[in-house]
Amino acid sequence: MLKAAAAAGLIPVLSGATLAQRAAAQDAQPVRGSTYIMLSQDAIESLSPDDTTEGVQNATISNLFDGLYVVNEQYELEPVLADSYEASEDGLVYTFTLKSGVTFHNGDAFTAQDVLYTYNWIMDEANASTRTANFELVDTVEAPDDQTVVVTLKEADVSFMVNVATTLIYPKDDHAAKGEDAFKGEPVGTGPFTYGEWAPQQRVVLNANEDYFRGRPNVDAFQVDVVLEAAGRTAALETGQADSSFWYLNAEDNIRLMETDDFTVYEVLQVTVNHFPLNTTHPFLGDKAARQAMMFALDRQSFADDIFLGQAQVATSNLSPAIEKYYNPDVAQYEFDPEKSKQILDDAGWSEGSDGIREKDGVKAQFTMMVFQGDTQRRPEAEIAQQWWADVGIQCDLQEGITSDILAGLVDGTYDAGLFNWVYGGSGGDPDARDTLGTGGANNFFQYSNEEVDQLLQDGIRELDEAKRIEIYKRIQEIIADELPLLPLLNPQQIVFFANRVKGLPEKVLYPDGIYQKIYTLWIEE
Amino acid sequence: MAAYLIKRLSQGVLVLFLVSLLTFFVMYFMPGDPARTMVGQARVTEEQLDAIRDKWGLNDPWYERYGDWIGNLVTGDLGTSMMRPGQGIGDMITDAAGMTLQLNVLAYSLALAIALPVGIFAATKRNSFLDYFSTFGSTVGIAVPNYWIGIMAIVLFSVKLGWLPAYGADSWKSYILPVVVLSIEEMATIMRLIRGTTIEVLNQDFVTTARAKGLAQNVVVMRHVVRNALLPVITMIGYRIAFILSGTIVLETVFSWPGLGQLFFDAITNQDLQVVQAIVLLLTTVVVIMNIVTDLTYAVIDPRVRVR
Repeated sequence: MLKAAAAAGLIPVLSGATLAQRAAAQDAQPVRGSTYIMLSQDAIESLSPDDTTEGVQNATISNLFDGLYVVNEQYELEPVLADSYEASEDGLVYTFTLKSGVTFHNGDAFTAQDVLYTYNWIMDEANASTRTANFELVDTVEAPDDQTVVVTLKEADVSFMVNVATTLIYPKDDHAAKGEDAFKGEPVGTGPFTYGEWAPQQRVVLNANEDYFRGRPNVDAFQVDVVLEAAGRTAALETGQADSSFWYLNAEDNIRLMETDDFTVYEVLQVTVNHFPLNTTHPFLGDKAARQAMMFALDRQSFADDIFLGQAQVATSNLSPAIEKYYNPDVAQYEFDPEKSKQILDDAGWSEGSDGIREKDGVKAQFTMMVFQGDTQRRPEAEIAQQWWADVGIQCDLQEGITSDILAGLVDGTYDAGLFNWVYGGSGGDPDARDTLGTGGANNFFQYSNEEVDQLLQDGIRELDEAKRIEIYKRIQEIIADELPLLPLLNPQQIVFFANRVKGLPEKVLYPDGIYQKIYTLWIEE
Repeated sequence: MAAYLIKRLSQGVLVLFLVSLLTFFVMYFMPGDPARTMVGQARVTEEQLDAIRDKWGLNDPWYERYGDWIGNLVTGDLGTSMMRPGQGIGDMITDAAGMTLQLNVLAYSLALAIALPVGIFAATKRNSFLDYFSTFGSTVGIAVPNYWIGIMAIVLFSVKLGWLPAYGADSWKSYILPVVVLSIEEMATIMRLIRGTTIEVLNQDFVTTARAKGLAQNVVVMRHVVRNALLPVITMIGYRIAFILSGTIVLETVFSWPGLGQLFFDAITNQDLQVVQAIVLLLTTVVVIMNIVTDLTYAVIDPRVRVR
């Protein structure tokens, strides 16, 4: 007998009835008309579901397409193209019942064949899809009839619903005829908006889908305007030229805008970790004691107060408190204590040399940290840390580089250390971190290898009991906080502004990007 | 003249070839991994990254990649953009170049319309208030970075006064700030140059002769002085126009102007070789042609050059 998966323990899965109740409970009456304008910090390079790895592109493209489910702004899974699903007790077989009467923008009927086509296209290595990794544990996909899709996994994968069931669906015939490259500029989906205009460096205009199966959007159009500079985006919000900015504004501008009454503001802790990744095979950085000493030498609270102007909090490990259910605050703590730092280094045999730099067995306490070119916000953290480490006898040299080169160089061990924000579990509300913390992971920036962590990561993705799963990820955080392949600095806040004329916004938000899945429910009142 | 043109054009083709080769090798050896840029922070496996690299030929040897590109170019195919496969490179560049050209033509026109008469007048009325004011103004215009002026202009005219849009290129109003800001530095440079060359020409013997013959000052200036004073200015303008398409990237960023500079920067950041090559070829062609045009214009204006 099939039963609803304990995969529901991953994040809540809403039913259609719950959604209907919530909609009925809404007091205000929407107004139809106007254009909602969102600002993008980058050119919109594509309108295909295969290019949703970048946040603002996802926010844009997810208004053209739908998946079987979507992760909403409360980290809940909402049914969209699916009515419901059931999973086998062993978590290996998922059966989706699809909605009927849904059409693509070109009038083609949406059926299970479109889901089959999409999933198989992604799994076909020849297509070099950016979403292939999500389907790693998918064995087969079948469509026994037009309203049913059956996905069989090779092994249980608790992140399946978040990573796979939210995949945006292609129109089989249209996509096959055009090919992926042409489709990127001529998108056809089932989404609340249809393709209007695409000038990649300037704007995207999507028009309301009059026949959208969840109800015609209240706004007539959803427009994404490209404004590269944060100051420009702030100016655009202040003048009312736009309704929201997808990407962050400057910290000083956040404070200024929050002091006005012109916006609905959401302050949410991000799932990313601002951190220094360290190469654990480096002669100095490879010493756990050295890494712990480096942590004690940092006054991370001052980073939060002075660099991020209070818009961040000190991080403890790889997971952010934003993932409440899995977050573990009871891990090793590292208060700012330079004397303790020196003691740890002394005890570990790193004694001060004549030049003030510590050394041990001919190895100097010295390394190079790579910082992204043009990273004006985070670079001060590296410069200040450099001084604090110098005070305890560690030499850190800074070097700028191109982002993709630094990331690749950290993975292959070319570089010693870096500074950036990354998600080590928490994306979509799921704490999985196999590709970052697992041995040989494609985004393992630390050359890190720990057998217990590897086993826990594999167990975590398969554990259907929520309580046990939580313990697994808490244990991972304990180990990471002790071993410190990365020095967790801060969990930044995401502060998002919506112009007051935008109505229908939720009272509370856990995942602000999820609001952009709901543009069709918002409306504009001048 | 025909022989001269053929010679210059042949030299231009050689320059294009060498520049394309140089650009290719700079991009080829540039550190970074375009495949990682494409996947961003998404979950990824090494096999997936390799598949993306294979798809775009990033694992192919350099001679194969260069050969493929040259081969396609000969048939007029600029290739497919890695960062934006849904749009043809030709369309991408045409749209972007068009926007940059509009901005620069308007800015240059405005700069010339103001700088030439002001600079000439300042030279003929030396040590007057206008002379001092224009000299001071041109010093400020050259010294102050135009991106700072741009940001201040947005704060004043968009945010504080609400007169003009903060970004975009939709309406005539959205052209005002970027055109004016871009014209400031050019205006300042042209004004200083024309003032200096006019003063120099005013001290020439033939000008003294013209005055001695009883010609009115304005006739002396407009008929004899300006034409001679313009020669260095034409050379400078020709030189600067050659870089018209590539020199505005900072301002394009400040005003979110969808121009060629921004496209070029994006292509380099994403290591999109096809787009970078195409833009470099375009810019090189423009420089080569503008150098030829400048030489020919000089010959038209200065009969001595024709004789030579």
